[in-house]
Amino acid sequence: MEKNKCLAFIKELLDIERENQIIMLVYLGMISAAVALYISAVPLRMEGYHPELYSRGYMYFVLFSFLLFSILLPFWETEGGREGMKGVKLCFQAATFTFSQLPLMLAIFAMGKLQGVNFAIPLAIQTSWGMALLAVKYLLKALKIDEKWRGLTLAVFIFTVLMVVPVLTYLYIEYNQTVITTVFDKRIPWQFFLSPALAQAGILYAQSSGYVQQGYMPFMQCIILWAAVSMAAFIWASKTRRKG
Amino acid sequence: MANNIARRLGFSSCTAFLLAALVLFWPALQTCARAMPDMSVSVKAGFEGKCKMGCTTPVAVEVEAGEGGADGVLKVKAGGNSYAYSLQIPEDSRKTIRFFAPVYKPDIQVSARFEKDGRILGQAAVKPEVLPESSVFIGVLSDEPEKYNYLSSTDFSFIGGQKTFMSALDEEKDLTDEALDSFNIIIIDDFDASRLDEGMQNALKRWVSKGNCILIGAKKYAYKNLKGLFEFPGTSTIAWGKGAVVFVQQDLEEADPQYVASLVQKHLTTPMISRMWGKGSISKKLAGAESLYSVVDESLRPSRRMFYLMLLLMLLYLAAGCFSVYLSKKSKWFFSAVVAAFCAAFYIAALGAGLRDTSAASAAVKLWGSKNTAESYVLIGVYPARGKTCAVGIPSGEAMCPPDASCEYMPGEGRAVFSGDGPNYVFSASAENSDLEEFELKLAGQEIVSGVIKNPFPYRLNKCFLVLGDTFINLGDIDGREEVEVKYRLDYGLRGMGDFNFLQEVERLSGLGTSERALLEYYFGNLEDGATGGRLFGFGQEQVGAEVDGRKRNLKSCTLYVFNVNLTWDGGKILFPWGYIKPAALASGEAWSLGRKEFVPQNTGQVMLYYLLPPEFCAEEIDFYIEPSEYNSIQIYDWSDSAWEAFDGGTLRGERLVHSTSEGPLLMKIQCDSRVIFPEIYVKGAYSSHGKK
Repeated sequence: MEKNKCLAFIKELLDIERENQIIMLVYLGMISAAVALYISAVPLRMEGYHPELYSRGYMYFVLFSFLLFSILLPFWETEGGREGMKGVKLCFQAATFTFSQLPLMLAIFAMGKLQGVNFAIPLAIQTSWGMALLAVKYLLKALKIDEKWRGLTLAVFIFTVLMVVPVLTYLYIEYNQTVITTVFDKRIPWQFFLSPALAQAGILYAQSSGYVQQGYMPFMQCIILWAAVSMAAFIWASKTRRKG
Repeated sequence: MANNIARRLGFSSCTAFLLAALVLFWPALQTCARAMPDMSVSVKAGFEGKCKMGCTTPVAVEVEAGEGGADGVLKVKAGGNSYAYSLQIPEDSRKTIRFFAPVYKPDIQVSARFEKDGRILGQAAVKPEVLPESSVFIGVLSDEPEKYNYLSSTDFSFIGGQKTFMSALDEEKDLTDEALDSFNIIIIDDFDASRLDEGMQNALKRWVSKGNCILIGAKKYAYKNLKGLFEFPGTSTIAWGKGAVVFVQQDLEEADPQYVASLVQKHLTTPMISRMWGKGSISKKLAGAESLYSVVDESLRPSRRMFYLMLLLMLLYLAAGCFSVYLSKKSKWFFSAVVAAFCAAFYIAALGAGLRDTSAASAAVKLWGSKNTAESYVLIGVYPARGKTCAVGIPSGEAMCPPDASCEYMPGEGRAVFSGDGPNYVFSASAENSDLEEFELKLAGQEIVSGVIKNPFPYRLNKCFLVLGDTFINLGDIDGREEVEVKYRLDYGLRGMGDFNFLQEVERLSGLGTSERALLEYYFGNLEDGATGGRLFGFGQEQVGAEVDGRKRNLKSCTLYVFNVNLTWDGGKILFPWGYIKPAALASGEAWSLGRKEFVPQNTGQVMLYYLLPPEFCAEEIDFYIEPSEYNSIQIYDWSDSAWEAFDGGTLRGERLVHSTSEGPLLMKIQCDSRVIFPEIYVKGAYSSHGKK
């Protein structure tokens, strides 16, 4: 009995709606094409061994897949499954969506013989960001906001976090005439690194060139924030649904 | 009275103050004394304080521990290299560390310090005398070496030797490959040769086989000298590989230095000449090894096959995803399972491709140039993970890291530790005994060379070819242990070419790739010693065992194999075809040029060419092929008259030939102002009754 319950729980966790599977397949197809094109066009055409080209390829790949992920995730279908498990299930789906790119990342590492790269960190940032996006979408639905306004809200939210915050960071640096030497520079206030785009950029820079001033703190702060946002959104959505 | 009292009081208070200070500070003084362990460090470098530029020098560091023993790290700096040894020395005992350090600066200091937890417990330094590259260093193996100090006045200017130095050899410490490499000539007299154990004998044999010369007294102390390895009564010379052991029929204690010089002159070889000017030094070979970096990198480059495999796996992944979507009506969990399965599969495949291993590969040149001796020159390249250190095990022999590398070499532990990012390289040179038989081909009438070439290894040799003087013979790929029959008429297709054209033509005829060309160019630029004989070349891709980060691994390697090929003849008549005997070139003020085919004068318009005929060979006729160039004049040295005589080309025979070759090598002097391609010789003659081959 207990065993059946456990199996049913795992099965429900692994279930992904058909529409969502197609979204993931489109995502995988696009990033596979990007990886294959980059490797065939750049490092393979060079004489000799250039690990820095593969390192750069890994950086471009992570940023490209992060942006594509942020564009495609708003189309994710959040309905289906038991209400009580919704939060856990959506988190698991965000993780599955994120980790589906892992084989391609490992292919880059194997071809370029890169080692010592901790790929779990950018994947963790992407997962927490994905969880937050799905939670916000779920919340908007729970608040019975009209579909087109939901889409607009989500789009503005993504644009603000991913585009506006980096622009504000740039303006801060320019108008304060701050001299910075790395992405995670201690002269940049930590609040700017709550944007997952900047956190990803900083982590990738640290992994490729090795020099940071704030260590891995911005990454921890970013993950904690978006995990907290997703938890708060799920709790609020559950309460709203129960009332409704 | 008041003054007396004041004086006494003053004296008392001073005494009281001193006693109080002593009582207060005595424990502190004792603690300090106890805190510093009682130990001493002493350093010795060189052979009797002398070492030769471009060679390796022995370094001996003795650490003596007193009460409490010593436990720490001994750090030694010699020249530009750092060495580290972890030591634990028991109380009241000493430990001596010995190793060889390369010398490539005219003023080097060898300093050693013993550290524990960052504190220096003992240190010492010494500055050995560095002999210039162009000096001749004589080693004397004798029970009373001081009797032979007169040898320091021997004049070797005829081979570009500017000064002569001598040092006694310690049979316990100095009869090793690394130590003997510093010496140009070895003299053995008043020495019981039966004391030499097998290791010492093999080291001496290998040293001679490389083209060097031992002079051994066969008169006053013959009863003592001619034992064991040198038990050849009634012999004047024996040839070992490219070199010779000369049994001197005069009393070496009181011989004329010029008599000693004339013996060396008679048995001169091109390898001996090359080592006079330090051309054989590992530091020079390392400097040239930069061209092999690209070979190492090419081995690490992922192949197209790997890319297509990766593409196939990606397509499989997408196909599995499509199939999951198709199945999603019945089972929505299948897609997650596919993602998890492919993540695991790719991770396992990546581990198999070496995801957790430090990227490393090697390029190597292996030579079988002398009988029973195999030399290896290996460049290992590693790409450690960012911010991490990497330890590479050093094969036996000498090893060096490039001068700008952040590398700590630990000869005691047989490894080099790299701490910088990016590619790191370590170059090593070693020699070992080999039971591989030398290749022989018969040269018969009509200049047809024939014989069998057998691949001595179990693995395939690719793109094999023979270069016999000026003739190129393509052999193609030879499988493991396969025999290839050779029957070819010498065509001298490479005659009259300069270095660049020669290499280019060889590369074109053999169809070499980029890495193979780089290896061949490295060999001709740094390892080819111009010794008489043909060469068999082959390339292999077999893996080289090496220790990286403490783990034994098989590294992908691109290796060039070079074998000596000797010609044999029917009957007593010997014929050395065009290009078989290559000249050694010397211009005053410049380094020797060996194995080359041309010379471009920088300072002077004069170059001397030494054509070194094999030991105990009597030439009857020598033809000259002189490429039309702007020579001002060509002269040949007459040893009997000790004078230069003009030469217009053609053939040397009869009396003139005897005068030019009986007392030394065939010497030719060319006055020129521009590039000159060396004249080539075609020699006919025979070996004397006790000559080899």
